[in-house]
Amino acid sequence: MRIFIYKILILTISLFFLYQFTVGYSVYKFQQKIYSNLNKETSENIKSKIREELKAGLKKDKILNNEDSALLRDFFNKIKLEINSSK
Amino acid sequence: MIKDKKIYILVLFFSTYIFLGLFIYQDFGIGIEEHFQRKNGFYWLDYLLSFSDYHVLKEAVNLKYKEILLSNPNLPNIVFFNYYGIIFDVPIAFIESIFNLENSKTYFEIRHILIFLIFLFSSFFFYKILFKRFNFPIAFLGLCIYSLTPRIFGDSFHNNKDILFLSLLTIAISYLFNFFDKTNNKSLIIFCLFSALATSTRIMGIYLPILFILFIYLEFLTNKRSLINFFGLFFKIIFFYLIFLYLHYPYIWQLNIFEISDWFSKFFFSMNLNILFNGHYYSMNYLPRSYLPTWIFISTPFILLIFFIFGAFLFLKRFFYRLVNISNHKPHGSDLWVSNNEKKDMFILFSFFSFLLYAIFFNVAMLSGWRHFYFLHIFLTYISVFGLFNLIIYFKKKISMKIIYSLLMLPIILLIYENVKFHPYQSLYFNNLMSKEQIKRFQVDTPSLSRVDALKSILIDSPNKKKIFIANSSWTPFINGKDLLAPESKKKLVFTGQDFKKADYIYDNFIYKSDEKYNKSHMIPSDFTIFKKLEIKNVHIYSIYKKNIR
Repeated sequence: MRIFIYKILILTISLFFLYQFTVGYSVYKFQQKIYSNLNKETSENIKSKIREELKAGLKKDKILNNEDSALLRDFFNKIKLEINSSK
Repeated sequence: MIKDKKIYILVLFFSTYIFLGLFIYQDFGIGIEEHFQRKNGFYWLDYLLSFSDYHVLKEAVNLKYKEILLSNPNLPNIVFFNYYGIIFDVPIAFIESIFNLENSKTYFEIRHILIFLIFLFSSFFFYKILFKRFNFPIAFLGLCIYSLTPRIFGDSFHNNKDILFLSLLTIAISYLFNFFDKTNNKSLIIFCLFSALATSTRIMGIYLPILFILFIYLEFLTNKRSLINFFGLFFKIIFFYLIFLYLHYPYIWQLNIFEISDWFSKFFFSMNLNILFNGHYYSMNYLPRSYLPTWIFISTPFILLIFFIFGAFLFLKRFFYRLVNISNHKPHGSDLWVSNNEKKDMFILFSFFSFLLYAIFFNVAMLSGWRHFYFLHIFLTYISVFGLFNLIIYFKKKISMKIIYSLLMLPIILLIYENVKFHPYQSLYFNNLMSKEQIKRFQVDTPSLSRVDALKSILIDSPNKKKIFIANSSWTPFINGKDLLAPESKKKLVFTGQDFKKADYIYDNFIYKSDEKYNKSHMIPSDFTIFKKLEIKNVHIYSIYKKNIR
C-alpha cells in the first residue's frame, strides 16, 4: 500500500511535468502572446496608426498606381451591380 | 560563560537593530498599498464596532472612514476587496481613533514602526529555528542574513502585508519545528494560531496546516504513527486552525458556508495590467515562467545566491537519495527523513519548491517584482544557511575554525554595506550582476517609495512659493506621497495629474501602464529640463523635471 501510494504520487507529478514542458508550454506561450499583445491599449494604438496612415495617404497626389485603380474600379462596379440586382 | 557570551551577542544585535530602526524609520517613503490598508482597517473596525455600544468611538471611526472615502476616491473598492486580514490594520485604526491622530505623517509612521517591530520579533523566532537545527555561529549568521537582506530590510519599514505575512509564517514554522522536536499541545495550538493569522494576511498561509498534515500522513504510512494518533492530530490541527481563523477573520463571518468556491474566488482576482519584465511588456496574468526565479536571482545579494544554490543542491540530492531508496523495509523515521533535523529540512524544501513551482506553472498573476513572494525569504535563508553549514563542515578539516568564522563576517559586512549604499531605497535593490542597461529592462520603483523624497526636494527648491503645481508622468498614485509631509507643506502642493501645461515640476519614476513605444502620454514636454535625478549604483530611481523660466 505504502509503495503504491508513492508510485502514484511520482507518476502524477511526472505526468504533470511532462505535460507542462510539452503541450502546456506551447499553449501557455500562445496565450501569453495573445493576452500580452491584444489588449485594449494596443488595439487603440493600431487604430490611431491606421488613422495616421490614412491622413498621410490623403496628402499624397496619387495613392494607387494605374493597374490597382483599374482593378479596384472593376471590383467596386461588380459589387455595386450585385447589390442593385439583389431582391 | 559561553552561554552568557551568546546572550550578550544577541542582546547587542537586537538592541543595535532596534536603535538603528528607530533612528532611520523616518527616512522611508510611503508604500503604494498603505492607503488602501488604512482604509481596510477602518472598514473592519467600523464593522466590528457595530456589534458594540461604544457610540463615541463608533462615530469617530465612521467619520474617519468617510473622510478616507472622500480624500482618496481612487482607492480600490473595499466592498469587493474586503478579504484582507485585520490583524495589523484594525489595531492601527483603533490606535488612530483612540488617540485622535489627525496628522497623516504620524499615523503612517506608527504603521512603519509597528511593522518593523513585528519583523524584528519574527527574526528572533528565525534565530531559534536555526539555533536548534545548527549551532550558534551559524544561527547568528542566519539571523543577520534574514534581517539584513536589502529588499526585506527595506520593506520591513513600509510593507504592512508581505512582511507581516513573512513574519507570521516564520513564527508559525518556529512552533511547528518545536512540535517536531517535542510533541505537545501548546506548540500545536500556537502553530495553528499563527497559521490562521498568516492565512488571513495572505491566503497562501493555508498551506501550513495542509503540509503539516501531509507530513504526519507520511509518518503514518511508515507505521511511525498509529491510525488513532494520525486522526487525532489531524482533527486537532483542523479544529484549532479553523477556530482561530473564524475568530479573528470577519471576512468569513459573512460568507455562505454552502458556497465554498466563493470563499476563494476573490483571492484569485487580478487586474489586467501590463508589466515591464526583461525589456518587454506582458499581461500580468500571462507572465513568462521565468518571472519569479529571475526576480529572485537579480534582487538577492550574489553571495547568498551561491550559498543557496549549494544548499538547494544538497537538499535535493538527499531528497532523491531517500526517494530512490524507499523499499518494503520500513525505516526508523519516515521514508523521506531519518531524524527530526532532516524532517525540518524536508519541510523547508517542500515549502520552497511547491511555491516556486506553483508560481512557475500555474499562471500566478504577479506585479511589483516578487514582493508577493517575499515570504520565500525564510526558506531561501534557511537553505542558504544549510549550504553554508555544509561548506564549513567541508573546510573544517583544512582551515582553522577561527579563520572560517572570520570569513563568515564577510557576508554580513557585505549586507550592511549594501543597506547603507541603498538607504532608504533598500526595497529597490538589485545585485551586482546587473548592469545599468539590464536594470532598465525592469520596473524599479514599484512600491512608489520615491514620491515623498521627490516632494521634499521640490519643496526645498521652491521655499517661497505659495502654491507649487506638480504633474506626474508615471502610472503611480503620486498624490498619496504627500501624506508623509508636514501639514503646512501639504497645503502648498497642487497635483495636476498628467496635465503638464499647468505644472511647475514633473515627477517620473518610470512605472508605465503600457509600452513606452506606443504610449506617449508620459513624454516630458520640451520646455522642462531635468532638475533632479536619483541614481543609486546602477539603479535609476526617479527624476524630477522643472519648467524653464523664460
